[in-house]
Amino acid sequence: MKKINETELLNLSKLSRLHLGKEEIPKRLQEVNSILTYIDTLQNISTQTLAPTPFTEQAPVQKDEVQPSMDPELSLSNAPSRQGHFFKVPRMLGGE
Amino acid sequence: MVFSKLRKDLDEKKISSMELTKDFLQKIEHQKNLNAFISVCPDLALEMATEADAKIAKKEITPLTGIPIAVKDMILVKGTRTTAASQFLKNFQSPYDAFVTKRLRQNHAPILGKTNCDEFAMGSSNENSSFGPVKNPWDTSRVPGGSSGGSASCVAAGIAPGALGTDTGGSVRQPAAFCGIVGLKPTYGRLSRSGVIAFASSLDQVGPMCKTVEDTAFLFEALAGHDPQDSTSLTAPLTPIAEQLKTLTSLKGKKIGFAPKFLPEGVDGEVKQNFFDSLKRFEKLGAELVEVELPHAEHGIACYYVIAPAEASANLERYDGIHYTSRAETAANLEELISNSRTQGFGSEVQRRILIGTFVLSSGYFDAYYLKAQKVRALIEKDFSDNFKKVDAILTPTTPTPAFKLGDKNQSPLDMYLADVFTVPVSIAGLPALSFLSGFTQTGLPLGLQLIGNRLQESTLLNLAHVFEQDARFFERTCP
Repeated sequence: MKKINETELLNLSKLSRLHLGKEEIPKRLQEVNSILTYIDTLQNISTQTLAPTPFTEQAPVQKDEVQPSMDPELSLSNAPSRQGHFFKVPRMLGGE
Repeated sequence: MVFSKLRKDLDEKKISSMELTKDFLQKIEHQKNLNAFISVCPDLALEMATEADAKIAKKEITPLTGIPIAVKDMILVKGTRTTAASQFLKNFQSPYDAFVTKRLRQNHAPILGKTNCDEFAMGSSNENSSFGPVKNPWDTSRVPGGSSGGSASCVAAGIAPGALGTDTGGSVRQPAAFCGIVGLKPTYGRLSRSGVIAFASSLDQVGPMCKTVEDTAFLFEALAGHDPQDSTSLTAPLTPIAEQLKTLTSLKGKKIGFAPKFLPEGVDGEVKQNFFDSLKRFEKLGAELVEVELPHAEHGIACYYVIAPAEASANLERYDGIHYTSRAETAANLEELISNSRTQGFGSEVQRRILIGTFVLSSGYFDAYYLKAQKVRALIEKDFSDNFKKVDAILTPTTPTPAFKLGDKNQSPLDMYLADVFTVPVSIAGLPALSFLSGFTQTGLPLGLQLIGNRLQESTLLNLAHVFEQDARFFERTCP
């Protein structure tokens, strides 16, 4: 049965781009592990001959046609910071 | 008040849509304690009511013209903010209309406001909203269910004639049951997801929530239709049912399946009793009862808590502090800006699901969890499709218990997840299901049952539930 430890939890939070405060770690570990234990019950079900295709009816394939896209002003209207037609972000590499 | 009465009054000019809309806006104001709305939209509602009255004067009406509707705050309505009940989107202005919103506009159904829900629709009690919990109007110390708790609460309280919810694992049906109204989760692909904030894309569906089955049918028909903007939107034509419902009184020739083994431990005694009493009522109304088996349905929750968080963790990647309104004030670099914004913006349950989703999708675990869950999903789907060769619908309780007390389950995520044991397998299989009011507990709390149908068979469910409802007439009882 899979259980994760503190190091793995911290790695998960890094991958998820979420900070975990030190005081949160024990509670989060307990929650995540209780959920993992529960979903681990799936391992007991025989699925060897099955393909992972959930739905029998598929939506139609659409033609690859050029359609008008959203007005850039509208796309940028919720940006917390912008410059012209660009989303503005802090520098990617460390300070000068 | 039901649509048919409102329609009659509007058409006979006993009341205008403007008067009606003002009346509901006033009721919303008086029942603020329910916290059913995140944003009330009087300007939009009254503007739409003016247009509706002009249409009514010209006799250019649809069944919904002039009837006000509330919209869950997961659905974009241009000119309003859409928050998904998250601090992350607390200032997000809808840049366009969702497909279903366009349908409300085409029908001139005034939009009263945006209803409260669990953050990003993740929850079964509405306690995960960053705008505070919604109260159940039958007993304000209890939850309305979730995630579409605001939509259910406002319809049950009579402060909106109908509402739109969204359902990923039961988020329309479970609150409908807890609040004693009707909620339909259509077949996956029936209602467009365009303009609906994504949670788990292979499960999300919009659903109508109303006081009666007939109202639900009218709202569903107004919302349905193919939308090229949603790549999973189906083209299959809808069998119109709403107009015909009035003429149906017998269920002769209909076969209803029930699965006695799919009543897991922990199902409340009154829920069980109500389920068996309701089966008898269906039999009295002419339906034939057929015992069925759903051997894999009990694995629905485990399957769901792999697939839904996996898809959620991918969908919620977009909230990065760059594109959608909220940004952490302090960050030394881009990496920190993203992490700080996400940590501050997302609530606890959302963060928990992102962590689980990231885990099941991560290298080394993908096959063991995500792929495995997708295979179990195929088994659950096969259980249902085998049964639909011999029955028209399958009846289950909607929820294992009536509405629970605020604070009762929010300390244990797993306990909360198990509140969706009956609704989740249906979502996993992409099937339509309808929750309807089936009675009350000794203490006066509403109970709901779920009718599950074969793919695209919403009309069968509406037909069965309508005949039951007209015979039982539980909907005539109103909140204290």
